[in-house]
Amino acid sequence: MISFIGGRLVSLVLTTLTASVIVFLLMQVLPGDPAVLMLGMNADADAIAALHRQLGLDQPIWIRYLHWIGGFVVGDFGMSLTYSVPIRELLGPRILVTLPLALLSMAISVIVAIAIGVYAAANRGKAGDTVVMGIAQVGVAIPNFWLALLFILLFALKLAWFPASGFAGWEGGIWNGLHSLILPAFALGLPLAAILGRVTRSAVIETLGEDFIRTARAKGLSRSGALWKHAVPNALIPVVTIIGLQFSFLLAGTIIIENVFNLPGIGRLVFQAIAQRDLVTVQTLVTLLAASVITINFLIDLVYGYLDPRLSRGGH
Amino acid sequence: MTKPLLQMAGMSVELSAGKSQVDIVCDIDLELNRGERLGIVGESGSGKSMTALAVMGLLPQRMRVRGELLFDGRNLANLGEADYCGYRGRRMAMIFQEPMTALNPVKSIGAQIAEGRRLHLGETKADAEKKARALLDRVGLPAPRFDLDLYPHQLSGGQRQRVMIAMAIACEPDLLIADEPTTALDVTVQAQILDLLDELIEDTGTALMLITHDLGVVSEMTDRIAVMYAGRIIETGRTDDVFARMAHPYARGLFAASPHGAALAPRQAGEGRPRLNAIPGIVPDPFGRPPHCSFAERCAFVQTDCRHAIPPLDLINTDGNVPHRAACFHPRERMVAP
Repeated sequence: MISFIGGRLVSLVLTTLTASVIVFLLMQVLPGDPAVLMLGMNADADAIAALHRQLGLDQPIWIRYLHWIGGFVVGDFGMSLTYSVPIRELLGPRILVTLPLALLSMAISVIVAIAIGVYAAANRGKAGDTVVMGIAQVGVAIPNFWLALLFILLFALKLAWFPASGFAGWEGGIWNGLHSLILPAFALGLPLAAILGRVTRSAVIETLGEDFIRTARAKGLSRSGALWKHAVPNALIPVVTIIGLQFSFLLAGTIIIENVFNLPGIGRLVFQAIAQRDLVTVQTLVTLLAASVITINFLIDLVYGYLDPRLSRGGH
Repeated sequence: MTKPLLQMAGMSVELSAGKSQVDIVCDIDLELNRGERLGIVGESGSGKSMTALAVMGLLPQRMRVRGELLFDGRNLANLGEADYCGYRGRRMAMIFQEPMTALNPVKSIGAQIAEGRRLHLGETKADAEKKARALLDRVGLPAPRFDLDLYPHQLSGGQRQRVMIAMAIACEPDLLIADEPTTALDVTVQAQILDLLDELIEDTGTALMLITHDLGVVSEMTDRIAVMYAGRIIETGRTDDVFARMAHPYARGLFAASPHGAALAPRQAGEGRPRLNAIPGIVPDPFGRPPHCSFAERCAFVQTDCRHAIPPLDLINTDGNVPHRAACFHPRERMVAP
């Protein structure tokens, strides 16, 4: 188990570094000089050169990379070009919006997916299966921003259960903040749940056909006992793989959803930074997002080891 | 005489395919007393496994039992699912053919053995695990080498089959069904597993229904035997009697086609190596079974009346208290073995 985790940790670090190099290089080839952007089109060449020196843009590319990544490791991400404040200060309050949103969406996606997937598998070919999977099929086709608009119309404007936009902040208590995140989380999580639910259904149907299910039934377990105690734990292995893959879609989704709901999160910051050519902020945020996807997949690997003893415990 | 533990009377297993229905297993009359050992022999597709699954109430979807299937006086054919769960694993247990896939790969063997006792006897986790430990010792997997928290992938095929046996006998069932328990194993391991089964049956007095195509195994392990062909029993009686006479031509063919039987047959002059005698032709599929003796097309002794009706399972020898029956209009008389 130790070597299993150690191996994954090494690959985690290497993948993150590779991602940071790619992001950094991409930022270098993008058109647009940050100094020109900051000083305006009519700035004179001396001022631009001075600003280049100040920002360190006159140094060779690898020095700039090492400088940036060195700061990154210790949490010093540099200054935002447009806000002129440390990027770290921009991140703090926004992470407190985006992280709960992402986790909530993921929880909704996983819980809904397992519920509908297992239900459909257990009732395979019956009316319940057809109805649930039909709805899921529609869910797969619905874009999250459109679902978000429908939710705003129904739950915010018509029923007034939730706010239509904005974030109330955590200062007024957990419910205060959570209340503004519920609609965005469902808008983000449900389309993912539709895909994951279909994966769950086919995984459970496959395991239900395995010999060990018959063994469990021969032992006296009821149909549902064999389903939950034997089929589902085995079916979770492929489901967890998809959860890991979906996490990157989920982060991409936060950029859209935070804009729809006007939430002050990381996704919105990325969007604004791109629009304003705040390249240092963009490269930091994109690298952070990449690192979080890689970290989630590392955690997924650990969950694998727990779900499937064949990975974590060698044979004799 | 006391009531038999298991009694099938005119039992059939019906498969619905679309609008048509077909009997996978037809008209089985079979009894099994407490502590008795019954062998069911036949080639693939003869319906022997379906007969076993019918007893366990674990037939695939679209299949159902017709007729009488009495277990300890209660008709299982119309037993509700919830009641059936109380029988399975508690009163009757089954060992399957494929030890490699019959165990859950993500649960420890201890949990899988203890599961039945916790379910049926309401034992606590600790008690059931203590019992599981004892069961593992009993089936020849001693501590500390074979811990309860091992997983199936850490065991060999023979060891997994021992775990299956431990699971099956966990609640001391009255009936143990073993469906080809050694077919997937190495020859040397086969013998060990059979010895273990033999010993456990001897000790516990559990009734055994052993399903196999290996005639050597039935001759050693069972008191009585039923030979199945195309969904029907075609010969049944005391194992020794059936082996001595092989009245049905199919039983004779099966015997000649097995290495066990061939080894006993005298060598012919000029032949270096005795050849196995294959039965010509194939088993008719369930949808195309003829309205007469289903072995007629392959039978070396076929006569015209064989193609007119299905032969009943008639008594061919009344000696002894276990009747010897065969479903053949022209049963063989000559003994094949003393």
